[in-house]
Amino acid sequence: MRGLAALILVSAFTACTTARIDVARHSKASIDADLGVVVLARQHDGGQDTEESFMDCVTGALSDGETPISLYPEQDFVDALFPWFEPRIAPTTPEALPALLNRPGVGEKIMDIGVRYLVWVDGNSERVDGGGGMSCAVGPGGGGCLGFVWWDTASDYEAVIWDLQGGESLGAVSADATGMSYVPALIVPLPLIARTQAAACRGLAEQLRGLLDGDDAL
Amino acid sequence: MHSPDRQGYGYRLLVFGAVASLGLGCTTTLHIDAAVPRPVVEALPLDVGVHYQDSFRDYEFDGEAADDESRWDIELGPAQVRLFDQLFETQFRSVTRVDDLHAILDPARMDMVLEPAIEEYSLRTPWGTGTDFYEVTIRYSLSYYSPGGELIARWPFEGHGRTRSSFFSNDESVEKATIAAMRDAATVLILELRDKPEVKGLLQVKRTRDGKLHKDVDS
Repeated sequence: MRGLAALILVSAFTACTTARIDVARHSKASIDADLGVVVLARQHDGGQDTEESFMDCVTGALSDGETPISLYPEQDFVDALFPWFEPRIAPTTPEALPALLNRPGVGEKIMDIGVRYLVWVDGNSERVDGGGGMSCAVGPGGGGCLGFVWWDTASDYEAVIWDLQGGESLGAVSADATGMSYVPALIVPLPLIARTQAAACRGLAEQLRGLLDGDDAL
Repeated sequence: MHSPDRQGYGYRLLVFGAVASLGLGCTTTLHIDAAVPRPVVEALPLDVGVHYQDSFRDYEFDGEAADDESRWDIELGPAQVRLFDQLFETQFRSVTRVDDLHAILDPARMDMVLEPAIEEYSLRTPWGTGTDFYEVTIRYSLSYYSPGGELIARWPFEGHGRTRSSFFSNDESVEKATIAAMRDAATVLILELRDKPEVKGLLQVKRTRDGKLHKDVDS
């Protein structure tokens, strides 16, 4: 029984995922201890499409490790600069930054909170295909499931880094991951989940760190 | 065979419907308590009065979400008063509460009186939108009165907010979408109010008057 439980747990992590990461660098960063980074989710139509779980994954990956990056909390930044980063009027290109920074109080507020680099994250994960079926039943003698369900997931994300002081783009990273998940069931369902979101997060965060660290290898 | 998107949508509808049916006939009650952050704006050199009608102070949405039968009782009034207090205090040089709109106010001390109102609150759930999102729209109007109580203009504006649904926290999702709509409405007001012809006209009159005053003082 313990062996079966272990097999289920291991199987839950072994579906295949394919990830592709693209990086474009426009200029070199110079992070210092006094000037931080904020990671924001791009919002559309008054709401956020990028999952909070993905944002937590990216910010967690950037602020961990041997050289953690100092991150300013997203909601604190948006609140401190209200309303200039609300979905309706947040700048969509780095060319819009000079006009924003010239608004009364905005440039000073950004200097006060000590943020130099702004990372916009956009995208989401969605189920693009699927099929199969499963039936489960419970009776006095026990219960179980029989069937097979599968689905394809595509995780497409993009991140762009802006230098708030220079009013220019530092670079961009895109992460696309696809995978097929399966749940065969013979009495007990055996989930084999393709963790496309996690793969996209790892790839994106690694390249963002490289851009922010001014990594010459990129 | 149905497309994967429709299958996923159908599954979500089934689950949402199952959860919603557990509360069939029940009303979800919400009290919106959040505050909107202090805007980073430059105050206009105007002294304004603000009047809140009881219907605004006590505003409550008591009805069904659009396109589904879920019932909601959402108390919005107190949060709206805080919202507009915050907005007006940062947008204008001084703000005074006015209890009686038709009391004659000294135009030397007050340039205009503003009165916000909520025209409509509407809510759409994932059941109605066919997506994973709750969507809220709040339609407002802002009336501009002279210090003597004469209606000069009425400006409609609205805020939209949406939030991804959370499986067992429908009320939290509606609250977040409502707050997003309030923030959006505040953004519209901040952007558009100072460009209204009536406000620009008032500023021009003040500049001219202040210019004459300085000339009189100097001579």
